Amino acid sequence: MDRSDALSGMRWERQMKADVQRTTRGGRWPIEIRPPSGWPQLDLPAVWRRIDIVYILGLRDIKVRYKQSFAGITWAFIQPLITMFVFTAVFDGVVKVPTGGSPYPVFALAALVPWTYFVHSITKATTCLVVDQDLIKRVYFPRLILPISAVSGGIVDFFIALALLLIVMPFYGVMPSSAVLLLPFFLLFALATALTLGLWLSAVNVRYRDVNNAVPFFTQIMMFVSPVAYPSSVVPEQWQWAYALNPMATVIDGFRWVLLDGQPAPGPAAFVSVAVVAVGLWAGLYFFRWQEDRFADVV
Amino acid sequence: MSSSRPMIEVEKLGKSYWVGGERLVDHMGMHALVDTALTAPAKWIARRVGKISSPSRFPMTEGHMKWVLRDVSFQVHEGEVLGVVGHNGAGKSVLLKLLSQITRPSEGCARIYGRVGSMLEAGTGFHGELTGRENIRLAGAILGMSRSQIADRLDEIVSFSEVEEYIDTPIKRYSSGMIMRLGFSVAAHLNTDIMLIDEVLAVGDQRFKRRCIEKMRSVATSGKTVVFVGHDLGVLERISDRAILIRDGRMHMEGRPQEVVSEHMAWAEANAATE
Repeated sequence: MDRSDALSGMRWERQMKADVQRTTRGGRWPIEIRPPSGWPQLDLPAVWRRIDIVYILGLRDIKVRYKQSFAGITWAFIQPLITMFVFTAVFDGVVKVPTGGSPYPVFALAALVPWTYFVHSITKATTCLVVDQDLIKRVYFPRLILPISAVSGGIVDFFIALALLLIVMPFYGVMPSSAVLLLPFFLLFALATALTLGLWLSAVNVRYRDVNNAVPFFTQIMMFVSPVAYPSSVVPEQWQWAYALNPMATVIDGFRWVLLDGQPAPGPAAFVSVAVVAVGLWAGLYFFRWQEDRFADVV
Repeated sequence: MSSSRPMIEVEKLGKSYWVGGERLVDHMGMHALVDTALTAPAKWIARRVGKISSPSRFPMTEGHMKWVLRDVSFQVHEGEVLGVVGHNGAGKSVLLKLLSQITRPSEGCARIYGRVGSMLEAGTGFHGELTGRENIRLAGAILGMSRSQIADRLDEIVSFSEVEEYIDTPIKRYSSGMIMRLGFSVAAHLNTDIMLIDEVLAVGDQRFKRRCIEKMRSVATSGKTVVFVGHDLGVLERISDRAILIRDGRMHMEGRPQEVVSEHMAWAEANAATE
């Protein structure tokens, strides 16, 4: 009796394991459902197993955004293009901003490409949990998927804007520098920066919708403390490290460096930015996971 | 049944909400926040010294703790269909939400040995601007199907929902009945070892409702482990192997479906008589 029970138990466990490997690529069993306590587990593999949703939600957002829209996907470059013209009129025509040799329009556009991506991403990430509260209340998946999807979805627009820049550059006789191979790295860094802010802002926004009101204001101020309209070299040498506390400063410097031949590489202060993002992202992941248990009850 | 292993183990599971009150910070905004911050050090010291026992770091407005579910324990074995019976607001839906990990319990624990699929509400994840077909892909992925699984079952889902003609029309043009039918079809084609089913998912006119129930029955009898929350007690009696009765958030009874249902009916009638 005992023996046969133990045997069937073993068989059952074996079968269970095979099932697990087949259907969930190594999930942990059993699923333990307990009250939240102590430090949250990040459990990033669980996010990875459901990465399909990031793709499908990103696709949804792109489709929905351009349904019943006349200009459609062209919006992705209308905005940076017009901003470029306005910036050129003001900062090149009226105020003479130094650009280190590059023509001002491409100098501005090289910054506007990552900047537009950044602003769209954090705006979207902030509201992602509230907009999709229906999902949070009705179905389980790792909630980290939502902000990750929010900041990844903008990459399509990013590449369209980047293509625009690459089309405009020859008209001004500007070529990419040989460091252009580092572009993916700076894109990744922009994504990590947006995700870091997105994690914090979205989690707080679930309880305090003030965040939603503060973000447009916040991004506006951020633009003035980021080298979008001007080069970061105007900041005195001894304050460069403080300036780099804003990771977008390094992102934009990086984009200019790899895309526009003749622009200087980001200085050693870039490591300050990397540290800020690394710490912010790590803490943000824990903060989000800690708050996550309450989303369905609070939102 | 007795030789098979439990697929779901629930031990003293409970969920409480703070009813009526809220944290002062949320109630009064900035003012209470400043207040809390200023008095926090004093309170911290007081707690350390042990003079007062403050229940929470954050002061609350008037209110009380409400246990919507407490002390619920049961097991569901492989291939078994467990019916859950209870009056409105007894805590049946909360139980399903806890088991599907949508919300965390306040006490106790549950262990689940397999992949869980939830059929709780029709149309989860739908977006009005997308077509029926796009919504099937979207909702399917969110509910836990892989892209290849969705592709395999797409035709089946469409034909079950009876909206073939409009499948490439945005669902905002659908009637609410059509949306619900599509929603049910997606959820019904989930294929996991363990299914959590809420009968309210059966929607639409009488005819489609019968088809929904029929589908639920075939899911329940296909050898899956099922937790079935029922409102139509006749249906529940027929498809469950065992049932539990929840009353006011507590486990009231566990036994054969017929016994549990008649106990519940007797109580409900007595209740109606006193009113």
